[in-house]
Amino acid sequence: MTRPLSFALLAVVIAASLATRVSGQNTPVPATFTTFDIPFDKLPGGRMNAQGNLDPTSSARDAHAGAFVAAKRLGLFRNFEWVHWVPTAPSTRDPATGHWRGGDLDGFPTGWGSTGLGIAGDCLYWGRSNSTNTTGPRVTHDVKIFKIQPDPEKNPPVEVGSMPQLTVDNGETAVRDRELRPYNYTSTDGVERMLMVRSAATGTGGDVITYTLDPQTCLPVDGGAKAEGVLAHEFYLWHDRRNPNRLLVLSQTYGSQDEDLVVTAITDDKTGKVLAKPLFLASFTLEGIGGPVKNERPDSTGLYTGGRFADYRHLTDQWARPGATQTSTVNSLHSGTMSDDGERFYAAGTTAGTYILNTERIANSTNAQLASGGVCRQRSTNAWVDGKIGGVVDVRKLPEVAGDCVHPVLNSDPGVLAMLRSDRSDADKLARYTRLETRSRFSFTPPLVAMVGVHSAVPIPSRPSLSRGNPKSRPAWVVITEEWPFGPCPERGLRIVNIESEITPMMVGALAQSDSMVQNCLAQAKPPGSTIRPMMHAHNPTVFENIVFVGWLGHGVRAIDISNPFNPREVGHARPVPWGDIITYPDVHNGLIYAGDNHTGLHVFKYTGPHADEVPKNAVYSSNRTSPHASGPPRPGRK
Amino acid sequence: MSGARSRLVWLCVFAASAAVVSAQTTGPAAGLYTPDDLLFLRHMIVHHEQALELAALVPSRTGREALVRFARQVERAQKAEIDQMESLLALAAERGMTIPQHDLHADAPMPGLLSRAQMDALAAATGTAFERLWLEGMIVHHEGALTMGRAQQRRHFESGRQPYGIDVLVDEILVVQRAEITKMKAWLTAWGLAPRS
Repeated sequence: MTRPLSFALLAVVIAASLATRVSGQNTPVPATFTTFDIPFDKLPGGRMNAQGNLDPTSSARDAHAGAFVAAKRLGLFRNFEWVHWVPTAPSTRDPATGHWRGGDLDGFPTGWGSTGLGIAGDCLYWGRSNSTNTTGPRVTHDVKIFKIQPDPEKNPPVEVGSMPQLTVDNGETAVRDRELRPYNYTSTDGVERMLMVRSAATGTGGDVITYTLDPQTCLPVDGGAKAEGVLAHEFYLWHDRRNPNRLLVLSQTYGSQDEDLVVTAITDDKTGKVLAKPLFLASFTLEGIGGPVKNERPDSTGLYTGGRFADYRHLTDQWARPGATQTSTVNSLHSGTMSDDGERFYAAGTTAGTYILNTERIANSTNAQLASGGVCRQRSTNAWVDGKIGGVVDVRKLPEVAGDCVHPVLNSDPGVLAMLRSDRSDADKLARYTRLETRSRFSFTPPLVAMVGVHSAVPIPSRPSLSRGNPKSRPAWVVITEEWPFGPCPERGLRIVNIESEITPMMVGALAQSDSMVQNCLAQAKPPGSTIRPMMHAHNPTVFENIVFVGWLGHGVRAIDISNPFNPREVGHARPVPWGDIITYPDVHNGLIYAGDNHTGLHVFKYTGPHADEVPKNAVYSSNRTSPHASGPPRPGRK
Repeated sequence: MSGARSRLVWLCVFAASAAVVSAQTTGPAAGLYTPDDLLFLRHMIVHHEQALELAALVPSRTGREALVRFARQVERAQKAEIDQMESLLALAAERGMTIPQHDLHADAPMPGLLSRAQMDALAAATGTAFERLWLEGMIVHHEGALTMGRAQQRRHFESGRQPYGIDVLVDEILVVQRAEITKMKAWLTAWGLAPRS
């Protein structure tokens, strides 16, 4: 493409964006609240014309403009402005019918599609999943690299490069690029550095790879360093504020391997450079230390260790799908958040619930000390009689768990340790421990049906517990979300858990869309033009002191006021069309919110509702890595 | 109203009622699964059952704790998936669909299934020889499951369908078994069991 033509096209896109921006009314927040019910029966489920009506033959310009018209007509934005829509997957035209399909402008219903989004400095990385059932075999979409422009409210991000998509199955299947974590940091030698961790394991059993990036150009400068034997589903990227050279990846394996959590150093903690070979530091396995076993099956009556599930399989939704029933519990680790000081890990443990891990030795030791095994046991103690997982817990081994580098806070609680070391009978100890262990994980499954269970767990920042004996200002609350991909009715929402007693997490507040009630879910209408029911559960939350932005999949982004954690309330919504299946963490860059839609691409929003002042105006913030970190280009004069 | 006319009206009412009843009973069921979907479930159950047989051989034939744990993990995961598949077949049956049975002779052979001779050889082996045979056999078995899963996904793609429960299940099978293949291949090398090139 010639340069003048490129500039002309860019100008058109910018002008279109300016002309069509949807502004959510800054309506005063009413005295009572409800969640916004999307009018699914009126929602165009596909490409639109300039008037916002379904039209698979429309031009790209009209399809883009029509989305903003439809969004305004249907009231799909409140206390949010839809600043930019950046489609990232091209459409193809059927010459016989003139219909476009397969691209973001079409709201391509990709089923298992998912997107990855990460921002560092002014660089934005955008990943796209493909799989045989959604795009067909051997289709790849490279990771796109964008530069966020000056005056980003006016100017959408501009693509500056790409990274080839990886494949598995001899090239048949593309890796699901939905876990991208770029990060910029200044090492102790004054060098401004940037890296990106990419999990090629999500969905495809690949590797966790760390690339060194050029912070000026946003482009990778190497082929990446692979962490052998780490099969992450999701991961948290932790930056040690006391030693800025040190970055760790905490991988959650979600059933891909024995270990639930694998802690790996990806930088040299003396220099800050990316390690050519990531260093294994420690791992944790909940079932290994006597916790609930993975893939638990019920007895013949349907009874699990934790109780009995509600059963809705006799019901049928508008997509001819039965209601929910559950045949096993996963009980593996899905996601989690490490505290800024590194001493706690807030675990999203699927059907095993949410619980807190003690990671003090990880935080307070060097990588070399940990790798030597000298300061703590790197792998979880097997606390079962004769090592037989799922048999009988050996109470005499339980005190050893406190010596593991990563272990539940329960296992180093002074009272619990004293009880386990007392002269009580083993049977008495086991009974007391079992009660405490069960209460140390907040789980709603059973009775509520949610195949995955707890998906994310993010502590609320800047609101420490005021309870006595909290010198480290540990948080009082954790926000959790719950999942069942393409789950049958009913849907799943968000909860707030009190963790002032870390060994006894307890739910205090919840917020759900109306489809969490099974009858509403069953009656939920099909959008015209759509071919699948998208996922509809609360997925990834970006959490601030009083406001949470949740990527709520088919419900778009929801702003939840959590100033009173006992009574969370929805105070804004942003739901793009033709789809709006927001899967990523809504990431903040200099006051704007960037989010990835599985079916339509990259969206930029501006939140204008209650607590908008908490959205950082000069930083990058995401709940899946230590935040905030610096926005903007590297400072002049630095190496 | 004449008798003939009255009969015609009643006939129309009856036909309309029958159509409504038919739509209520067969409509949703017809949209739920195709015969190919159900055959996939049936075959994958048979495939998983051989994985259970393989896993059961491990504890008494190796001293490697990692392999024993791995076999237990495979066993639990595949049992849970069998339950899931049986439950989907039961749902289809409840909605009036005919559930296919596996026909050893009429059905096409499933990729990755080990022969009886291979299973016998495994059962007779112990120690290092068993570990090598088992890992190689389970890799082949898992790769067969991937082939079956991908074929099912291709059917989803080509028909634009997302059959309830099977979509997620197939994805899960592909994810977990790819990861397990990665792990088993690494062990073959790390334990010095891979054939030297």
